[in-house]
Amino acid sequence: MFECYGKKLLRIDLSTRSVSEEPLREPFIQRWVGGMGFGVKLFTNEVPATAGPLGPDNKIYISVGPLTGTLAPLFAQTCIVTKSPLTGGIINTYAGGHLGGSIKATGYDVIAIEGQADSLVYVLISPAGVRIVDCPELAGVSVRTAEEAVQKAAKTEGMHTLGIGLAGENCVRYASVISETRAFGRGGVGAVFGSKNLKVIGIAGIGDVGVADPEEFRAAVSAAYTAFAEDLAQPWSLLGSFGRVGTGSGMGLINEKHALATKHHHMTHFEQAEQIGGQAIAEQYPTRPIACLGCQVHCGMLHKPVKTKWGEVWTRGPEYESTYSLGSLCLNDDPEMLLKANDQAEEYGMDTLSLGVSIAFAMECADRGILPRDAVGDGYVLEFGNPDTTIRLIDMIANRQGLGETLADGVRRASQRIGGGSEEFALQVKGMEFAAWMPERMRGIAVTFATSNRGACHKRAPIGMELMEVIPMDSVEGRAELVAGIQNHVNAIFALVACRFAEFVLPVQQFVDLLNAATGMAYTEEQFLQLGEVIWNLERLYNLEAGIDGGEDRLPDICFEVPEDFPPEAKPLTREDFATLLSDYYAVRGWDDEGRPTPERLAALGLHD
Amino acid sequence: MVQRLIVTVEKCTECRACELTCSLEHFGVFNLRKSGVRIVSNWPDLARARVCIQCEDPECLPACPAEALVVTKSGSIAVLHELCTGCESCVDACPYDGVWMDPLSGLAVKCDTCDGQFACLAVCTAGALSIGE
Repeated sequence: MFECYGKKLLRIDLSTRSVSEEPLREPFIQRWVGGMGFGVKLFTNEVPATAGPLGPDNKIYISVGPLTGTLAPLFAQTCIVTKSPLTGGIINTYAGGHLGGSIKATGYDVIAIEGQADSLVYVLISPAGVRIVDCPELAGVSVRTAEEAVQKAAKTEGMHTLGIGLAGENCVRYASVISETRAFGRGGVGAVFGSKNLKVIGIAGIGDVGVADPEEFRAAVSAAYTAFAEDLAQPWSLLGSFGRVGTGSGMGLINEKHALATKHHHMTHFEQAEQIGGQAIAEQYPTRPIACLGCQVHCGMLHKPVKTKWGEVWTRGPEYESTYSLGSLCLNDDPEMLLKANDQAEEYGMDTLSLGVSIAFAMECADRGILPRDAVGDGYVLEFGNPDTTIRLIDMIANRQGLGETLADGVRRASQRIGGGSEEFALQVKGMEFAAWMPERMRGIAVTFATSNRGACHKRAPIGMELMEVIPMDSVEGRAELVAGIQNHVNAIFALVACRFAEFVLPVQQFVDLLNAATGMAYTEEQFLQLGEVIWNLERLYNLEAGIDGGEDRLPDICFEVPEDFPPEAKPLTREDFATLLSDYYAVRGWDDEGRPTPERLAALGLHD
Repeated sequence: MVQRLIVTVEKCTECRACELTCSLEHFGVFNLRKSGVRIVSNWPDLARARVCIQCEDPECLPACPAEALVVTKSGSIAVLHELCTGCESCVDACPYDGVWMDPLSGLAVKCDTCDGQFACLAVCTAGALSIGE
């Protein structure tokens, strides 16, 4: 059993610059499976709720799962769990590409990083061992430059990297960690790297990945291949359109449904949306699809360098979420500005969602007279639809200059500093900025944003069902139960570690078949989904201890205002509806009225002390 | 003419399913370094493919002092793992970068076309792999 695991954890203490290996015991593997399961369990065991996210007590857990590095399609992702400097709670974040396979081949299922280096370092993990190397020459350089420098210095074929840019070094609270254009985007894990003086990790594994039952595994992989092939062959396939033009393919539909957050949620529809959608960008600029390890969908759109008024940019993407946050939300309709902004976010290492929302927040403040129009300085006008101001602000945020210093801490802290009632419209939950969807339109999004352990995150929401109107967008009926089920399901597949898109196609049983064939375990569908629920509750308990209570399961006031172009036939979100959603949600979860898991529920989940 | 694997890099999405399949077929494990076809990324340009061209007069064959290279029924050259000593003579002899070493096992690795079965073809959904002569 457990052939698909290395059964080892690598611990790197940057304070003492020491390295050690620890075995992962079989009962631990059996219970927590991998990826998010490993990360959340280790983090909640080892990091006190009082630890400062940017202090030496915080730790970073980089984990892969039982299916990483195998032929199972859409299992290329790597998971990072740490304490978020945006929310102060636990964060899990993922990136695809080829990093996960490389980690798996090292024989480590988890890499734990703790302490703080006294000066900037990179870490090399290769067959030659683990090295911690001083790199003052990489201070302030872009992610790409740093990745290339480490690759060159390592002289190891097939090395993959993850690292930070200037934003991470400057502890911008939504700095991301980038792995070869793929981003561990949300929650500020890049700032945690920065606080530890950790610039890059280079990983080159050469080991084998086996599976417990090769014949069963081949059959399970073959079934998954068939399921994806059948989906992708359909003209309506969402994943098929992602593979042709990227995740921005849906912008037209979302706009048509009046669900595209525009002008800081004052509008639901963006007149120029088609100009910045995936279709337009893929057609206008030489583009080819790029896949993560073993993936049939190939949603990553790689462009040739493009000459823009801001200079030549080279980028992959932008993803849909970035075209919302830096596009429609700021009323930017210039695709070249989006390519440039995407490139900046990647080079500085910043979450495009929190970045775009922070910039839109400043524009909103200017519209309301809370910030002066010249708050950016140097003649840049702070106003919606100004691409030059957007590009300028991205530089200022990464450098923590001027207004950028305030915006670099996210909109919750920025609104507390700026005042003027801006806390009521700052688009955030638990300190994390809104992802690309509108609680005003979609009830599933309202309850997901309010209750996610990450903050205003869209990763575990019934987006497709609401958008395609399989279920009415504005009905509260059964919505909380649906969302809780998706949260459990997605958490479970993140233990494997699957791409979120896998859940669009594969039924639960196929995930379980792959898991069992690879590991030799005998998970049932019910046990697998309960794993997701256990992880969800464990995160919740940690967040409660860290002071994030039910009072933070809320949406900002702006979500209860009716957008200017709200479709007349639709029902706006009311406070009554939201209260119903939240109480339904707590009931479904087995939590009390204040959002605390009850002892009975915890006992049922095996989480009692 | 011996059939060989053709990689059309213009169609390749760099997913490396071919590599994972190849190592599974030949070694029973997943390991990109144990694959007889390698996709080398070169962003933003197209990838480069490394694979044996099954040349008519293979220089690797006589170079092997251990007789670990054999001609299969389909005419491709295969590595017999039990005889390979890891001396790298085949790697030095090949002018086309068609054979290399797996650092873990110390064995030579090359495409033997699965003796004409080409297991990788079935998993290349991008249509970048084909059989040529």
